[in-house]
Amino acid sequence: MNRNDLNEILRERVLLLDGSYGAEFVRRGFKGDLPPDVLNLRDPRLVKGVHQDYVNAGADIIITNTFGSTPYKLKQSGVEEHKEIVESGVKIAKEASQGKTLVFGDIGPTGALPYPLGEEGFDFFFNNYFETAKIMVEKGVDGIILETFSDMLELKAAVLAVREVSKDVFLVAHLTFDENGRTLTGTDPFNFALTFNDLDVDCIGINCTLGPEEMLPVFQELAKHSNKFLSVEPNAGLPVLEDGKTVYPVGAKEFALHMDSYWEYGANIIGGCCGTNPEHIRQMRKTLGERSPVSRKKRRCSAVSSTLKTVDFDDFVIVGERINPAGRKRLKEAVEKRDLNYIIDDARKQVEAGADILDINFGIESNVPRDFMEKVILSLVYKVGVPLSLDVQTPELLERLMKIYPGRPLVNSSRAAEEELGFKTDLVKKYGGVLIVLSMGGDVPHSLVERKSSVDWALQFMEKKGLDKERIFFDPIVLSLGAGGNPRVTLETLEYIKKLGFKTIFGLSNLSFGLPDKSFFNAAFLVLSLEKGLDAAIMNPLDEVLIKNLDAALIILGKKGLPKARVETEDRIVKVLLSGKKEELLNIVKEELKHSKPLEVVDKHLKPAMEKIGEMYSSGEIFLPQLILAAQASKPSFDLIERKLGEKKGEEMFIIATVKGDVHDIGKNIVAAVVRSSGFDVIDLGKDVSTEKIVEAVKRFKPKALGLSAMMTTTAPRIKEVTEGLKKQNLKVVVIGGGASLDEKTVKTLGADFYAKDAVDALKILKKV
Amino acid sequence: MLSETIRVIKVDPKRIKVPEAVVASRLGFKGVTSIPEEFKEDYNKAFNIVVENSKPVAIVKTVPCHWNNTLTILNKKLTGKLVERHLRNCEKVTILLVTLGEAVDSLIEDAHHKGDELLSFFLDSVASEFAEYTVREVDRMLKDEETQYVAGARISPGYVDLPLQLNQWILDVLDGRRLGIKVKEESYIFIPRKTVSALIGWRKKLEQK
Repeated sequence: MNRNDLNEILRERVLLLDGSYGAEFVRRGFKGDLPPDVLNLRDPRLVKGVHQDYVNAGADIIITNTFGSTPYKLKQSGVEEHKEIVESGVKIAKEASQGKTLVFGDIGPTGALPYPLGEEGFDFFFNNYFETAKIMVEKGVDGIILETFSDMLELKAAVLAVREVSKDVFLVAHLTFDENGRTLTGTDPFNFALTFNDLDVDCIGINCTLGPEEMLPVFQELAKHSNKFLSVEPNAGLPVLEDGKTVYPVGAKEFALHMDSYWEYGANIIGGCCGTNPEHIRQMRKTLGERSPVSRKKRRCSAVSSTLKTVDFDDFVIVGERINPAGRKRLKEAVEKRDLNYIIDDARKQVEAGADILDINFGIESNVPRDFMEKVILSLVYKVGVPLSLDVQTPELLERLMKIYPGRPLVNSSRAAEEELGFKTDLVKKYGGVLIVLSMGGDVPHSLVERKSSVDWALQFMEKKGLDKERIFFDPIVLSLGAGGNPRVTLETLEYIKKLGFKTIFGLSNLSFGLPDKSFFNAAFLVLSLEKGLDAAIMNPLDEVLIKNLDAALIILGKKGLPKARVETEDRIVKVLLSGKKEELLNIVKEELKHSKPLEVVDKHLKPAMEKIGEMYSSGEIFLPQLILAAQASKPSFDLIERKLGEKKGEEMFIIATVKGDVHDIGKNIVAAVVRSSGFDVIDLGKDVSTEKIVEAVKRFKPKALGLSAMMTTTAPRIKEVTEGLKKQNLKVVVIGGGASLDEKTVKTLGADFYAKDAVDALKILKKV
Repeated sequence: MLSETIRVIKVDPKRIKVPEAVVASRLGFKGVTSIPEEFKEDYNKAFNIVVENSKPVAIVKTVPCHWNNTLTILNKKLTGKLVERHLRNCEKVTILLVTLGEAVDSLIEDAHHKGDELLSFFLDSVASEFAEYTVREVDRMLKDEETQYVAGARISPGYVDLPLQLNQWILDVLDGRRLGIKVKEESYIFIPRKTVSALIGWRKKLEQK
């Protein structure tokens, strides 16, 4: 079937893939003394029988018995008949299908690891997959599925190899994840989605290692970030040993019950991996019936990655500039002597000093052997784990390094000139990446007008080329102050680009070239640029003056939190709160009350501890139940302090209610508990509360703020009724709205002042107002 | 058996299996496959309370429908993206209500009033998933029984553009009041809270794909 036709079908229907083959062969008498792929030649009837059972069970797609059929892997088992096995595999599957199902060519990993984890390079993987895919396409498969890969480089090589064979074959690419949510070589589902969104695959997914229950959170994360069709093939549970045999514990009916969850999160192709059999597929057919897929929103993300790490540009990003032989004698020597360890150490120092990404420039590229450059790139990605910015001048070399790069690189950079920008845009579209475009076409532009015109031209050009907006960054260009460059023009260009909605990055050190006191010039200009919205700079992370100024500026601009002097008791209280030990906390508070006033105990100990816990929750360090537990554990201590204080203070009061008609109150209760645990006096009016009652309570207690919860679209308009009621009575109170049906924009239209997405958010607003 | 007569199906709560990972996700334990050890006791406690106090019952009725750019069931016209995507060209629709009963709601509320927000939160999360997996169990039973028709996806009011107001109609069609189910005026939320409504579309099975 044609790739476009299959894409069309997948927009309309969820397709059912088959289950496992190896265990079925064994169950039917195969001794397992040969690779199962060899059965395509030795016992084709057995293979056909399993295929037929999957067809009869209701599968829409069956896959060929060629999981291990790459030339290298077969040779490892002493099998030389690669071509015959693959050809026969496709033929048997087609005969079994008789046109009732689609037939996908199945290709698994070679079993070798890429350099520097193993010995093999990109070409080894590429050639193995090219050979196999070529036969499959010639024999007329409807698609190719690359399954059970554990490394992004190997999978990328396989994808590019298949595309080298055919642009028209439907292509599925899978990684396999451990229970920790990472592949063997450390990639998480977000990174997988990010990297493969850029590549020419139709569908990405997960198979093997995990059962349907364990795989679901990994799949959810993948679905959240992927723009491709999604496929999934869990094992029939985590294997257990019974009487010396490996047994997969999840039966067919139980397995099928999970399928609704995968469908809900957007799966387009669903099947089974190890331990599943035709009965699993039969039950899945029943559960799935014939249904349309769930619509998913396309995600846009300006991020780059290595195999181990993803860096988005929501916060300011430091790109370490030091791997550049210009002006660095020792590094130049290291490149000349192929001293990889020196370069790795140098990279580590930059990362330890705060670099998020490293810029790589080899100097005079013609003097450096290509294989050494490849080794540098792969060693930094796999060993240091840092995403790279490829500052490469030679077009063919840039293409090669982008091809072998395992992740999504930053490509530094292209002038806004037709030939160069056309070439580099095509490269990022083919191999993945984010492209930095300079605000200059030909000669160095000195005026704002020239730079704006380059940016405008580049945007039009790239729009025609079809490169997504989030994959284009602009460099407003920093020229040397000593050579007559005008930094003001850079700032004005930066402002212009930010207004257009693009990310910005520049090479900071150009500014101070040839000047004394470089650090101070660089630091001053970086601070000015941050104020204009600069997103990233290629700079020296080992320059302490620069880093300290950067940190201070980010704090002043509210882009980073204030550093806090840690109080010993705060840490102790955090621990006690997180373990829910009410009595222990009460004892600490009683002890503090012996020599401090009640309000001091709240301000110096309890509030900072809860603030810290709130931060931990916001950053994902702890989860919601821990936040609730901590809030709950603080209650007896606050009760004690309240008794000591006597009268409550109106300005610290917070009233909360779920609006009329709505009976959801779990979220509201959590907000009340967390706010209370930070020292506020909370009046919880409950759920399904009438507008009159809420307005009356505000009139009576004059709180600092009012929290209104509405979970349903049907009840959200009640918030407007309350805000209008408050207005009518001239009652001035800050109104915070929250609940599943709301967002920032909606609450404003309902007359509320703020939207809080969760309890910690509500607390932050309360502290701000 | 797709019956036009209203069927009331009692489900044994002990038969309902809810994956721990699913509850973990609802509780906010992001990206983990099981409840962390320090919360296992809270989870087990909440789960046992829900199993012991739920009385899961399903009310089911399957009726013919007609598709002509909109779906007509029992003279009711259903429109929108969700209906078009999942019920287009169906010949029959199963209307379904599943409730866990009132006791679970009271227990969630009691825990809150006693100041045990953690237990209240755990009970609410477990019960929500328990209701969802009860629906799945009933869905499976219906599909197991049926031989002539093939089902599509199960869709529910309140999702995408299928209006919540439909809950009132579903309650009326299935006469859910006799099991103590009500719809809250204005908001169309079911009481008991752990009650789920759904529609399942059916098409004739085809011999050849």
